Amino acid sequence: MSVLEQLNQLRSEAEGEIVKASSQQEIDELWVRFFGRKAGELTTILRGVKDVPAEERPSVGKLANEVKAQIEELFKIQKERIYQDSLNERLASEKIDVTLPGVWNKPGRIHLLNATMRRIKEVFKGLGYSVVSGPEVETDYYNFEALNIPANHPSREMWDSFFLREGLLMRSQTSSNQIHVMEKQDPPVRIISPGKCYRRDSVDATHFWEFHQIEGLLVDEKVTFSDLKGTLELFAKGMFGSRRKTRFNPSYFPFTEPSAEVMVDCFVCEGKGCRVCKNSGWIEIMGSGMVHPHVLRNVGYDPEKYTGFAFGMGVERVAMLTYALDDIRVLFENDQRFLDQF
Amino acid sequence: MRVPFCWLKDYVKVDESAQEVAELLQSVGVPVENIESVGAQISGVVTCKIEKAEKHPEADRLQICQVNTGKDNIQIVTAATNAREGLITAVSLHGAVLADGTKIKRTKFRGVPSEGMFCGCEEIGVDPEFFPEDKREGIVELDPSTPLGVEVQKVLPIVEDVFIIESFANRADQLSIIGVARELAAKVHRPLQMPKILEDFDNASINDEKEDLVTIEDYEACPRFMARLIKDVKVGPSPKWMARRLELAGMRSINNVVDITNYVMLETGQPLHAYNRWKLAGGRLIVRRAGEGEVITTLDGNEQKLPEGTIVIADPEKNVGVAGIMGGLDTEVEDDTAELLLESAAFASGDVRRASLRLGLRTESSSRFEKGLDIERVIFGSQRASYLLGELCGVVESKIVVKSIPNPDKESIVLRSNTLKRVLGVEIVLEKSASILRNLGFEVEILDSGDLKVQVPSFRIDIAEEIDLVEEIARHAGYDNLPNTLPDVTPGSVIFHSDAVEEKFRDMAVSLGLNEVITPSLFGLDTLEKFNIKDDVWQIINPLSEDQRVLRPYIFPSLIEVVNRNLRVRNEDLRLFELSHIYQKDGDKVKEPMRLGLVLSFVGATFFNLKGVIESMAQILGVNLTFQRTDLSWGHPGCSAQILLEGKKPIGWICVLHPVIAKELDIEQPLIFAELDIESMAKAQGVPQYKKISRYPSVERDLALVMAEDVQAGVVSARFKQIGGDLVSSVKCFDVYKGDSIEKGYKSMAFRFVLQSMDKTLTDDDISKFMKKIQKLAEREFQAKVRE
Repeated sequence: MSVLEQLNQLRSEAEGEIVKASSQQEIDELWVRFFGRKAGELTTILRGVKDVPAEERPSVGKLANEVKAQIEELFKIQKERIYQDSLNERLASEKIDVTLPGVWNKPGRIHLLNATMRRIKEVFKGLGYSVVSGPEVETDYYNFEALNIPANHPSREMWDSFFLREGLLMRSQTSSNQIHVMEKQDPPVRIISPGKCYRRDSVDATHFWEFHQIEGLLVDEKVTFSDLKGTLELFAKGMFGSRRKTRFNPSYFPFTEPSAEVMVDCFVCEGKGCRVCKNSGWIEIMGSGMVHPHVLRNVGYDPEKYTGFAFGMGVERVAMLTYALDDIRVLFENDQRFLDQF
Repeated sequence: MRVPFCWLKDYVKVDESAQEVAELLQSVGVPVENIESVGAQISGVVTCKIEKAEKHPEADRLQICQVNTGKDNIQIVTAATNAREGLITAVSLHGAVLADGTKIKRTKFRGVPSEGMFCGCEEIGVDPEFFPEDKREGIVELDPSTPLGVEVQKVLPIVEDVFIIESFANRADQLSIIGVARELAAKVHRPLQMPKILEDFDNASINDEKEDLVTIEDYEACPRFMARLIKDVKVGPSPKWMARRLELAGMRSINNVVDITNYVMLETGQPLHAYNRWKLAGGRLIVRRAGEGEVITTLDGNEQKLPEGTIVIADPEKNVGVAGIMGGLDTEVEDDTAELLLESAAFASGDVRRASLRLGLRTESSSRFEKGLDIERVIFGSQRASYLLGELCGVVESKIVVKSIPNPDKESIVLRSNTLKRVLGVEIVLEKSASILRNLGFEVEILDSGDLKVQVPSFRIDIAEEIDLVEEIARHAGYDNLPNTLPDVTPGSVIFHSDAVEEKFRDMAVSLGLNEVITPSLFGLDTLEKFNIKDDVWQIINPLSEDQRVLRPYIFPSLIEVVNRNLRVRNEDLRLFELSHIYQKDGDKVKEPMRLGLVLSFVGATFFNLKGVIESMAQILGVNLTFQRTDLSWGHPGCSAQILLEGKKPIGWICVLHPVIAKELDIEQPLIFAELDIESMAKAQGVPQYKKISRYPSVERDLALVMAEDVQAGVVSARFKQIGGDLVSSVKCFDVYKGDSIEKGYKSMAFRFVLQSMDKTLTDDDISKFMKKIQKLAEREFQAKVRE
């Protein structure tokens, strides 16, 4: 067989064999068969080109190059086809049921009360208030007397307290920390003071003998009741939504005067009347007032020079209102199913 | 206090609805908690006009009426004799419900259809006394001007609204209906109409020592006593209107005399008491303090042992009343009582409060006296009672004896012209301020300076200084009418957050997959015992229950209680933390350091899970913690460790729950817990300084060493690290093996070294030299053998 014939035959063999290769291994074997360095069929023919008579050599050489290129192209195409097939096979085999549950560590969560406390703190931090904590065990002086609640005052009934001994008790409100702060620094004072408080209340759906309050205090020259209103309105909007409206009703606390309870229009029913707002359209969220001159005098501030406002809110109450809780006790039971809800 | 709306209207003209009145009262600081509707729940009864009335052809006593109900013309058959053409009355239509619950249906009378029924007082539950005497029988006769077709509740007093008012602790004056009316009148700018009194004070004998109807031994205990001797009184039932009002106000009607004393107390706030004079030895009263061992049987039938010093009302032989709290049973006014001694007095509020507390006896009277003293009210109350006794009990005259200190001098308060602006932030017109105060009963003089000179009425015992007047003006000017502004604060106040550490740890614990809990800070003495806690603790002397006795010295008992409660409801994968103060005894002082309590409990949980949590926190903070075996009375003796900060300062502990305690608590799955002093940990945290990262590759080498069983991995690795210096970027014991191939009393520990240099790629030679050195050290210092 002439070299030309051999080349043509090899070409038709390659055309038949290469497309039949179905794996990387088969195609590699075929490659060796045609292009193997020692005994590759095409390699052998190419090696024989130099023995071809000189006048035929150009045409043989041309064909040889042509066949080589064609076979190489066939290999390339088939290799790509095999790769695609195996890729498709792998992708098909790796198909998953995306509706199966995810696998990761369970997230931890902040207790609802502290999450609420944080939201409240964030609003006041944004207004430039410092967070200052104070002792939970207080003397009679800080818990009552300095706050303008002398012994035998009828208003002492508002706070039935746990005593460690005569004159030493669990604080019944965070207002006691007002005194600590003002004793330590001169105005301007701008603080909030969160913490636990204790009262001898019987437990029911809205009362627990231990609860959380956040107290706020701002004292400076030129602080007015209108400032109190503006600040707490801003808070109500920050906490309960920018559309909220506030209302202030006169109230009574021995340590503030004038005193006011702060009402916000019901964020559950948008003021239309519901169970949460007892159909009034308004929800009481905190007590507040101008710091009583006696209190300022007790810490050595001149009430002729300084004025201030104070406010206090029950964190449980805010949390219960916000998250539609109907019983305060679930907050202290810590059932995992409750903790996982918020 | 319960304030019936109908009663309130006696003193101030009201056009507003009960709801509107409640809001007006709220806006001036009279806290209306609720409006209670008392009365029959009727429906479907409307006003109507009888257009035509004819005799029933079949029955003489029935009439057939054509009735205009405003919307329709209907036919009603009735037996009522006062049904007549032109009468405006009430008709219950098909489907209506009457006061006794009867449902009305269409019916036929002797073949004539009737669409419903006309109603009398009883059917709709209205008091007949609402109508004139000649119009109380038969069907109701309404005013000709009454609109037709409106619900009858709207035109007749069927449902009475009662305001439930929780007055503030300082407002003694609001424990009276007049006191509430005064606020309302001032708010709506209408006059306050005071009730009629018998102005017979002129006839009183004042401080006449010869008049011994009443003797006061201690004027501090009783600064004023007005005694009224009344003869020929006719005791009997009260008129219905009075009984009804008392009932609405929450009191029971007893007889006209007792009812008058209660009525006047509710109306004016002045408690009164009537004694049966014939039962009084010597027919007279003495006010004195009780000596030791005195007793009295009070009106409620209980014998009271009187604490020494209690103010009592007595006759020369016996006690007849606990002053300001309750009268005695012996001298009670009964139906046959003919002669009364009526007491109207002022008693020292502190004494009344103390006696009431000690006796456990809280009454309408005591709750008024203990709020404060208004001695001027004594005379007014007595005169009001006198008027009513005349009207209702036929009393013509009475003999009056008053024993009293003089009226105290009235001091005036000056409200300076700039104070309102300074406190409220807004100017209030002088005349407006003055008029607010005057409407509330203050006497006001406007001075040339623009200041107000204000005299406080005796009933406002809560007003003592300028700031009190500011509040009066602010609340009646309306808080909601004042502007909302923001404070103009002096710059320079430092912002510092004391909760930063707590919040940092909260975030870390949550990021490590723990749930936060909040548990009470008080628990019972039995809890200390249960967990074998021996600390000296602070205790509550007046807990409501024994589980509030101890200020907790640790958080973990509460956390374990939470675990246990959850396990009982099959919540079995528990990873919890709590941040709380604990309470320690420091001699006489209370210390309240902050603690982080951690607990893990789930199937397969180990000591090292929780240790991992704590180490992760230390890593985030960049502080170094070491764990040292220790003994804890609540911890497994083999699985308890003290945690040291930077190898020195103890900042907490970690343990597995002691199996004996676990058994007692019936907890079967692993339970590991720890407590950390987070303040100390946070204090050790500095600002992390950048360390260069080596550009050369690191290599890992493992080394298994057989050592005596009690050699601790932490000690060995620490030593390796120390020797290795910069070359060792980490060394960890990753496997401990005890078993067949290891001699008893020994264990094999596998250590993994990560080696890296800052300066070069380590060669095999470098590495094997180093490992040799480590091996030698282990052999020398820990008697270790390399495990082949």
